[in-house]
Amino acid sequence: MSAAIVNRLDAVMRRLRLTDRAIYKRVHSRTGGDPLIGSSGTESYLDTLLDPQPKLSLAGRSERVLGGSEKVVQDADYALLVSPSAMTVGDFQNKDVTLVLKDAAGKEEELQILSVGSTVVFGGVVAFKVLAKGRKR
Amino acid sequence: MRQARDTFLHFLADNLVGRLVHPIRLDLSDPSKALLAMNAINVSFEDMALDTVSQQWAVIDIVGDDELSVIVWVKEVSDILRAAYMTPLLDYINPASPVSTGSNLTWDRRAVSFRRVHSGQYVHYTCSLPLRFQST
Repeated sequence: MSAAIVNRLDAVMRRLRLTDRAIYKRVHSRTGGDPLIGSSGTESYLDTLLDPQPKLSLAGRSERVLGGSEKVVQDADYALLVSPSAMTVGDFQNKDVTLVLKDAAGKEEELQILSVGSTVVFGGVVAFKVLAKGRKR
Repeated sequence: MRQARDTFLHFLADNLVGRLVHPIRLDLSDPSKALLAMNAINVSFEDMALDTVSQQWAVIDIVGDDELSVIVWVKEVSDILRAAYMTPLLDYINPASPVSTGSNLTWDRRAVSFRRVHSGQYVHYTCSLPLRFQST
């Protein structure tokens, strides 16, 4: 039953295109480094366009997340609604996975995932609610 | 200073076969790096003093959920730190091929002493150790 709900939601998201920029999943990888001493070696990444594209909205100061140490509050920049067809729980738990927004001019904004919540119907996840923060460089 | 940290981390990790040596450092892209790891030998670096002979404080926190295993790890770490009071100071700019700097990283064997930090959640022993080395 939940799979049918996901399929309906995916169709709606594809039709309505609820984002003003293309959203990619970026998987970082490193070779030749030494994590013990924090040497990153050669870094590379692979971007995959998410399908269906998530719903993207600005979060502003209305969404706050406790940081990893539970002592720091971070303001989320964006709130996204992501289909389980586009990303899995494993993707969200992987520290090497980030989200990237790309506009038509090719400019990128990489997002750090702050928190993930799920909506479960009939025992299956039908959507992930993600709070993310832009990584300013 | 970076060479002292890298050398000490590798000295522990390379000599404690089968044990997890977890370096603690702040990295906002991965907050878990700044937390103590369970069932691991955690190493963090504190105050430093730069001089002809510089000093860097290293803190070793051995944390686990089984007391009898933790005291075995405490003895293993104590044994390797007491077996020698120095190790060659290496440059790990290329981690696959560390290069000798021509000097040593030293510590006082008598300062190797572990204090129990009491908790109802896990077993925790800690040791603060000043490392000394010649600055280049």
